[in-house]
Amino acid sequence: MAAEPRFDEAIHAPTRLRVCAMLRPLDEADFGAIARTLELSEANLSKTVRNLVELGYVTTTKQSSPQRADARQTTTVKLTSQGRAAFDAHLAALRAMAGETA
Amino acid sequence: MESDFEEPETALAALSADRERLAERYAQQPRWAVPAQALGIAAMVASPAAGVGWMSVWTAVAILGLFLVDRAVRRRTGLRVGRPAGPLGLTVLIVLIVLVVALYVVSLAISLPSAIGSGAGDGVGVAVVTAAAFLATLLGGLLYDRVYLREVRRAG
Repeated sequence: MAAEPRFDEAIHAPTRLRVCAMLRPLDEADFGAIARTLELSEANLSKTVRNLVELGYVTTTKQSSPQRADARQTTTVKLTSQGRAAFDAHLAALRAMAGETA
Repeated sequence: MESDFEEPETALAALSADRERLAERYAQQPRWAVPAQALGIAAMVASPAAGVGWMSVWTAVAILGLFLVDRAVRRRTGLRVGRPAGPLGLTVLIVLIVLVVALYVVSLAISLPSAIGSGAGDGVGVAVVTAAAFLATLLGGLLYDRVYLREVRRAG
């Protein structure tokens, strides 16, 4: 079902929107995978994720990773149902503004 | 907070480019992942032939194998995909699940006589059903991945 268009100022900022868009079709993604895929610096991504967590749009968990031989943990990022709804509505609004049909 | 306002067209173009990169990352999963998953599912379908005592052990080993494949995919891609990206992927998944469950029930029915000691099981029948489960999961899995990539590229 198509989402009702609703422009969301909170996620229109480019990096926030891109992170939400990447997470949308996934259950979750490793922090490093997001940074590499979107070609973002870790500092920039870290700040963006923190902002999205404050908005309630993503959650993060730390867990031991099969990618690491040491004891350091990997941060995993997941879009919340609130974040998914906000992203879908914002995307619909962008498409409407651009004159696209869903 | 980032305040640079992007035009809708610019934002949509950026998302489109990102989706392409996401699809490329997803496609980096090991080539043996789908065949290995098909083997795991086939082992589960064949498990009733192992008899009542060994069936649960066999199933547990198959589930462990599937878990390890999932872990390897996650390790390679950094992504966890738990649901289809669109309606076609969902359809493929539902058909595949229905097919595998049906084959499992057939396998159970064929193996039941020998499992409860009331007759000889049909070894050839179990082999055919197991092979069918392997092929269905292999082809269905490859199709699902292809559809997933297409729907990720197109989806929001």
